[in-house]
Amino acid sequence: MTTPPISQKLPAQAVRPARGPLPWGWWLLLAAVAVAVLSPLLLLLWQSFLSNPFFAPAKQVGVSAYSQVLTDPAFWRAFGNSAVLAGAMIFIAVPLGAILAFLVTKTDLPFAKVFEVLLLTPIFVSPIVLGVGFIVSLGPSGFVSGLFTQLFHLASTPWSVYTLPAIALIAGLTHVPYVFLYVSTTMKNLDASLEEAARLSGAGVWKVMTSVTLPLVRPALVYSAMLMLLLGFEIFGLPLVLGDAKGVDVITTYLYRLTAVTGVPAYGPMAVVAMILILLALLIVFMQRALTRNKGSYASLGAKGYRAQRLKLGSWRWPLAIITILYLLYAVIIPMAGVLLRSLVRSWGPGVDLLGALTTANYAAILSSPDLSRSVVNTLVVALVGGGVAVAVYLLVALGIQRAPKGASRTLDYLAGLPRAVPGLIMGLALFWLFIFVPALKPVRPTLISIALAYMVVWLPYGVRLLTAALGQVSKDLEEAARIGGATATGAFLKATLPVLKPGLIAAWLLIFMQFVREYSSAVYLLSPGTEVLGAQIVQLWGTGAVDSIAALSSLQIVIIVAVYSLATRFGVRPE
Amino acid sequence: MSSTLQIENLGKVLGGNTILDGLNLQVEAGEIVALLGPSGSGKTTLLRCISGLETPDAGRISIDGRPVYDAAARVNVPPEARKLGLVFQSYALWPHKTVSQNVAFGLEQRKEGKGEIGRKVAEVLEQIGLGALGGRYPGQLSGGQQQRVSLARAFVTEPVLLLLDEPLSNLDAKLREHARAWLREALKASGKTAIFVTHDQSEAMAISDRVAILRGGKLAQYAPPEQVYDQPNSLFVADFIGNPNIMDAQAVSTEGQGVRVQVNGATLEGVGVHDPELGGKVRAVIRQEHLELGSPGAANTFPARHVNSVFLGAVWEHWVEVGADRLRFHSPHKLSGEMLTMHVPREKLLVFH
Repeated sequence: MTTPPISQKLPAQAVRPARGPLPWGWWLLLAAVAVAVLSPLLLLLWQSFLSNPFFAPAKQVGVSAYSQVLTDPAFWRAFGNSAVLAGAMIFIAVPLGAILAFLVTKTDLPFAKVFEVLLLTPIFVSPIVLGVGFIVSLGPSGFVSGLFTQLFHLASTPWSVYTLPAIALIAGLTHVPYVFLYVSTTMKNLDASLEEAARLSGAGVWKVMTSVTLPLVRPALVYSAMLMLLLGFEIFGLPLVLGDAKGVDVITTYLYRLTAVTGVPAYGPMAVVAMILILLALLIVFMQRALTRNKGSYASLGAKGYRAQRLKLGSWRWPLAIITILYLLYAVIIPMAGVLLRSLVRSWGPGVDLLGALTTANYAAILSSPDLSRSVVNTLVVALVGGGVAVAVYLLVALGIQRAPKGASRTLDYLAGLPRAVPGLIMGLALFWLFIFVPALKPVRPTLISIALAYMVVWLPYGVRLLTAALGQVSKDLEEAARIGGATATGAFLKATLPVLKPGLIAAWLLIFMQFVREYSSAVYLLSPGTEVLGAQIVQLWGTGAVDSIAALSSLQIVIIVAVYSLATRFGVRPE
Repeated sequence: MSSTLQIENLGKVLGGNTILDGLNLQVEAGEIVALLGPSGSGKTTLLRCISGLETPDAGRISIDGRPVYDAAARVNVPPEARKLGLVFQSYALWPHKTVSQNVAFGLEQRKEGKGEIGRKVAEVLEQIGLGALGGRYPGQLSGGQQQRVSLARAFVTEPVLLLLDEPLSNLDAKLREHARAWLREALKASGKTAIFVTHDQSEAMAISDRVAILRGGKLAQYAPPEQVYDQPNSLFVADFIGNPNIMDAQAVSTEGQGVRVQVNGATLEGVGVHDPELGGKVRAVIRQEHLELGSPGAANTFPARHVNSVFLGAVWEHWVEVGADRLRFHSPHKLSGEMLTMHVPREKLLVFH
């Protein structure tokens, strides 16, 4: 007997793929994410077509707000400035970031490991703090400026930090770390034998970089360039601080001033500017996806078992190291040192004896001011508790993308990525309006929950990406073995996957903690007595010119972030 | 008396491809069955469908007479309720639990008493030879030890059916040979019904009572190992098992199970059990160990041209050419001469279409 007799009872059935019902849990998650992400945007869209605020009893639907904005020369000036900044960021940050990435990962540049850490620091420092840093160090009364004029016996410095070219340069230089991060990660995954083959054929270091390495990481370069384009239009803190003196506006600060100027918030035009920015960002994100989709990665994982020899720079070693140090000095160390120094002195400016003016009075002032001390505490609470809740939410969304049926999974993926196209400032504004619009949400607005919610939505794409990567590290086998052993689907996840996921969860929570502390633009519109947080508070104080408090608060923010960052790297966490 | 496992007309489509196509299989109590086949044949999918980790699209699966999947009756029992054991290829030991905790998991899910659990776990670890390692973590064990823990975990809940996914593929070659014998012993001693998936033929034949060869989502042959080896029911099975010689021949006449073929001018007698009424061009299969030198003029011999000889240490491997085909056979001696006379016993010359 070789084959068993075929049962006569069961007719042969046509084989068709099974189509089961969609489990309601994933439906619920999809609905929740859709509401959270889409309702602020829809409200903005609605408001942009109204002549009056959406809660006003009398309003007309039309394009009056659009024509108001699009015929305002100030708007177009701001748009042009944004474009200049974006262009500067692309043409400064991408080449510099790519070359630094190459030097640090592939060559025998001295102090490479130290540079790697230092080069990533600006990612964790609030841009507004950096902007303040530039003013207190390189501005007209900055301490570096003071040293310079004294040294060369000049009346004033030959440079200014307040002009458009200066802001563009600073924007470009401070965004190098983003390009560096992305490109260096890609370079590390390159098969080293490709470069070694070039060296064996007689190519020098520069030739290897331009003919082999950079072309191989072209997808990363294109992605970074698109990212710079996007960030260039979304940038807020830096131009807010530096553009004030000479009235250099970009789109985001133009929006911000639409509130402050007339005293009465101009809801319609604000919504219009917001919609324009969102559409522009969506276009850029779309281009980014299209350009990098088919390229995939030329990076092959190759034989990674051995450590490739680093390329020798020869006589260029120390000059390049010095250039890197100069860059770090200018873009990272001086601004941050400037802020710290400014927070510790009583008076400031040329001719002041800095050592004699050292004081802790600024910090004392913060402790004694209820608003300001609250902002420190609130920030920590939002970052700790809000960050923890955010990680749980992001985990749920990541699980949904991984496990829900195809249609639901793909929709969830797109929705989770949507906030990427919305600058924090605008998301904060939209959520602020949403809290007014929906009566049920009214009690939330004056609490820290409103801030935590705003942060959670703004950082959704980042967090979901983190958690997706963490989930990907855990083998599906573990959960399946638990199900065979008798656990239900949820039980198996909780008992088999979750414990193994813990390190990844902690790493994600640390990274999100840092971002929540650093965050500033999203909470600007949600600021109210009791919900002050560091970043947004600094923005508000900037309007009053209280540089003492600003310097002290900024220093506190830096200290918190540096502390958590060093803790995180101890856990082996790398910024994504 | 119902079989331990009965699969009827099972179908599964994945990504547009038909992985399982009207498959039927029956496994009796205490049997060990190997699912063997080339990659893409559906053997792992079949195992996962039996376990409940994947859902088929058509057909019926019954365990001990009880349907756990029935497309028509809309029955689909989830994996946790099927009371099976599954040994994963990667062992899937939970790294955050000790060996004892790993093994105890299934018993805890069945809400057995703490004392009972402790006793059973200790007993099964003792049986498997890992009595002293209960407190260790999987990361501290060798590959072979991890495999045994995985087996113990599957055993301890006394499942009706034991499933194994490539149980030996993660072990190094030397360990694998020992493990083969040990696994069959352990399974037979426990009396469990077991089904395992493998791509390794020797493993399949060494461990199982019956081999199920899958091809294109269907069963090609389902028989004890000796039968699959000596009496393959098709050219595919004959070719799949081992590395036999295959050559073109011309069928001349058939006589019941016997068939006469023409090879290189010589007439040979062979068997064509599964393809009666053979005529015209056919394929003749001779296993390497059945092809030998013969005396010219003797029965069932044919001429072949000696083209190459390779020294393998234990034997010489000789290559001969017959028409467009190359055949090989082993002999302890070196050979010389261009034309050789080859001999094959009648019952070892298998003829297929």
